[in-house]
Order: sequence, then structure tokens, then C-alpha cells
Amino acid sequence: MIGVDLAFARQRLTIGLSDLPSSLIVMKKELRDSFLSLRAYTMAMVAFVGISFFMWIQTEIPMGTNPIVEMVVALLSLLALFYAVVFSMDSVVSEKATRTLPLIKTAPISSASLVLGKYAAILVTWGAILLTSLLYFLLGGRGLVGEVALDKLVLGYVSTILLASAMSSVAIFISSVSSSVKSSAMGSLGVLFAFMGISVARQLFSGFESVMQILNFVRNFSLIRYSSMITEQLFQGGNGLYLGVAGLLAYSALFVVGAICVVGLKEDVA
Amino acid sequence: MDTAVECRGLTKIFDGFAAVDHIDLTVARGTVFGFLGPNGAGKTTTIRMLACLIRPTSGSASVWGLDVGRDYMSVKRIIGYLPESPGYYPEMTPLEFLRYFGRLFRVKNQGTVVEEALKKVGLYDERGLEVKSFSLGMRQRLNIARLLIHDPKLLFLDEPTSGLDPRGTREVRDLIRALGEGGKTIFVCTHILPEVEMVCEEVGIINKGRIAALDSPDGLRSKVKASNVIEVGVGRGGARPDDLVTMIRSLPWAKEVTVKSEGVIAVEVGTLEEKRPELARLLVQWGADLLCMKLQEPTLEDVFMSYTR
Repeated sequence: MIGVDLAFARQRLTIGLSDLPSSLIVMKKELRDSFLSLRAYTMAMVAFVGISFFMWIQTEIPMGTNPIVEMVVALLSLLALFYAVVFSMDSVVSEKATRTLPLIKTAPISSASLVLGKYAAILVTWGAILLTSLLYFLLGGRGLVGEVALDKLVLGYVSTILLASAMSSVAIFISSVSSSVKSSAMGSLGVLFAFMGISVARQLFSGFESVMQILNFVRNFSLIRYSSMITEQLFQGGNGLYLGVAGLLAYSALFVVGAICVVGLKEDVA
Repeated sequence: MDTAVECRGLTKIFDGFAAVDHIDLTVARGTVFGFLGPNGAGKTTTIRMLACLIRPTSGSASVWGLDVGRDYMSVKRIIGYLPESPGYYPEMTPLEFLRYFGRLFRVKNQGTVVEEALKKVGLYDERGLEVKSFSLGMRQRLNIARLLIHDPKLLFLDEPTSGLDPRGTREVRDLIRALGEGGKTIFVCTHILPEVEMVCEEVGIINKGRIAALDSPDGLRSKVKASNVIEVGVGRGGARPDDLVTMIRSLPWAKEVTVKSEGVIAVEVGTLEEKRPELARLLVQWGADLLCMKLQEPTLEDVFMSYTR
């Protein structure tokens, strides 16, 4: 019996290069949906308004090149978290809401193709927003932002992609186990605020050693910690770049695989 | 016989409850097969196992000779599945919807195939409208078009006319009949008996997770005990039918007397053989213009009721 189930699981979860075309088809469909909805434009607008604000501050109060890059990366990191939740929370569960999941599951595509296609679309959209915002620095010229450290800028941007990727994977996983868009949204936002709450609590309780011990332990599970490790090394001379990258990649892999397993193996009885 | 569907001891248990309990079933290729049963009998669970959506707890099922567990991807390429409430992407047009599924099924010559499918289900003129503006019947037809684009050998239809108005029901039935006549094997789950009468060549009745009967509609009717209802046809030349009904009702062995249509009276009797000659004699005696007298044929409803008690 166990043998039969393992064979069943292997069939439904194995992914190969042959799944790539199906993933691309799903990704294209998701990108189309993104660009037809207001969400992508709202998120891009918030990013551009924020960056423009920093640019304006830069011209009024000169801060040097690294502080402006650091501030933009910090803003984009925060946006990446919300972006990931907003775009991922209904990714799988919307197929249940529209009752299209059985139609897709009876088409010759694997659960991995479906999940990876949706995941890729979310990252491509974020990449497009980042790429466009990069034009500020590339075309703004010295008069606007001074001499920008491009290496730090690009690495900072990459760190936001890793952060968006990790948070997206968590939200997609929550979406795959949820029965409604509402419960998925509440779950994803709950996790995001829990991550952010740990950082806030560490500031509030910095004087309480016993509380800090607990918070420091819990912080090991927060993906914001791993993102901070990367930006700290970039801008403040820390040494956690590799651990930060590894942490975010591990988060992404773990939850994407989790979502693939749920979509492939969970039986929707309804 | 080349089989389209074969189940051997197929079982599905949910939380200790056997929704499908060791069913054996064979459906020949090219057949329109009606899978009949009351609500909760196990029809949908069976069809979902055959469509690779849920895995059997035990037993085996094969589609076109391919095991639904082992040859999962190959099975999905040759089947089309229409759930009871088929989904749709509200913001898509029918063209976009079908093209998306066409790409997932790697359909060649997609433009032509999609247009032909839309024409076949009568949605070609609405191809540019968003699906969210469609009626239930139009969405059902769109999903039937979705089934056609990859030219599946076998169609699984779960309650295909559920929730449709009479016009929608007729349109979907006509489509199913046309597909069957076109050589497709169709496995229709339903509890609507006229649907089975109209479109199915073979019928399986499932009750409480088990197969209760398996035959052609005529074969099933012949297995059911002959009815004890005598239909009497009377002409206008004799006594009025209303008066005859009153007189028949006065007979101690007439259980129920109803006027079925103008000049046709149905009389339910206790013991059939002894009462027919007596009823004929009495009717003539009462001045009836007796035109005919016959036993009422058992309907599929009688069959259904007798197997699903």
C-alpha cells in the first residue's frame, strides 16, 4: 500500500524539463492577468513615488550616494514583502474559487508546472518594476543622485528579489492550503505581520534580556532577518551575505516544494 | 471487446465511509454510457477517480487500457472532464479561455480548432465577450467546447445539465447526442432519467457505492417486474370517461384510478391477471366505447426506484 502511494506521489510531484513549456504557458496567463489588473500598476506607482521622494530629499539635503541607495533598497525591501503577499495570496486559491483547478488538474500538466508558472510570473512582474525603477539611477545622472555605487545598488535590488521570492513562496503555500481567498489573505498577511512584529518587538524590548533571548530565537525563523543580513553587509560592513542569501533561497525552495506537494497530492473532495 | 473504461474492485473510502465500494464496471468504446444513481450514491467519486482527480483506496481502474494511477499523464491526454459546476475565468473571453487550454493540451492548429469548437457549441458569435457575462447554459457549452479542442477519445460528464433551464438542457443533450453519434465514448453521470433515456445506450445504476444494475435501458426495463397498471383507451361514442372513472373507483380491487390523458384511464390493480378480463367485461357493460387495453410498460423511473430502494 505504501509502495503504491509513493509511486502515486512520485508521478504527481516529479518535475523535468518537459514541464517547462507548461510552466511558461501558466506564467504567460498569470502575467496577462497581472497587467490587466490594477495591482501591478498600484505597486509600481508606490515604488516610483517612494523613490521619487528619496530623490527629492537627496537634492534638498545631500546625503551622499550610499545613504540614498540604502534608503531605496530599504523601501523596495518593504514593498517586496507586501508585493509578494498581494500577488501570491490568491495564486492557487483563486483557481479553487473559480472552480478551474479540476479543469487544470485534468489537463496534461504537472502540479509543479502550475505552481512554478505562477511563482515565475510573480517574480517577473517584480523584476519588471525593479528594472523600471533602476532607470532613475541610470538616467537620473549625477545632478540627481550623485555618483551611485552601482554594485551595491544592483546587489541591493537582487536582495529584494530574493526577499520577494521567499515571501511569495510562503504566500503561495498558504494559498495552496487555503479554501478561500479571504482565509489565504488573512494567513499570508498574518505571517508577514508576524515577521515584522518580531523586528518591532526587538526594538521595544531591547532592555529585557530574557524577552530578547526568546525574540532572538524566534527571529531565526523570520525571512526579514536573512534579508537584513544581506543589506547589512552591503551597507554597514556586516558578514552575513552568504547566510542571508542561503536563508532566503531555502525559504523559497521549502515553501514552493510544499505548495507543489499540496496541489499535487491534496484531494479536493468538493 | 475494446474497452474504454474498466474498473475492478474500485473502492474509495473517505474517513471510514466507503463512497465507492468494490465496483466492477466495463464500458465499451464508442458507447454513450449513463451512470445513474441517487445523490450521494458514489457517481461523482467514481468519475473523479477515472479522471485522475482522486486516487482509489483500492482496486484498479483503466481508461483506454491505461491505468489511471500509473499512466496518469497519458490518461489525461485522452480524456475530457466536465465537472458538475465547471469553472471559468471571468475576465477571459471564450477565445482566450479555449486558447489557454489548447496550449496546455499542446493542440496543433489551435486557431482553427478553437473556432470550430465554438461553432459546434453555438458560441462563435460571442467569442469576444467576457465569460462573466455568460448565462449558466452558455458557460456549460463553453466547457463542452473546452472538452472538444484536444479531441479526446473519452468524455466524462458529471451532471451535464444540472442547473440548466429547459432550453439549456435541450441544447446540452443535443450536443451530447451529436458527440455520441460522432463516435466519441461518453460516460455521463446523472440522476436525471429522461437524460439517460434520450442519450444513453448502456446504463449502470449505482446505489450506496455499489453497482446495482448494468444493462441497456431496454434490458433494465425487462428485468423489472411488470407493472400492475392497466391502461384503458375509450372512445367518445360511449359512456363519458369521468363516469367510467367513478364506476371503476367503486370496484374493491381498483387501488388507484387516474385519467392520464383524454380518453386514457390508468387503473392500478392488486392482481393483474385475474382482473383484466373482468375490467373489460364491466367496461363494456357500463357502455364504454372500449378501444384498447394494455399493460403499462415499466419506465426507467420504475427501474431506478426498484434498484435504489
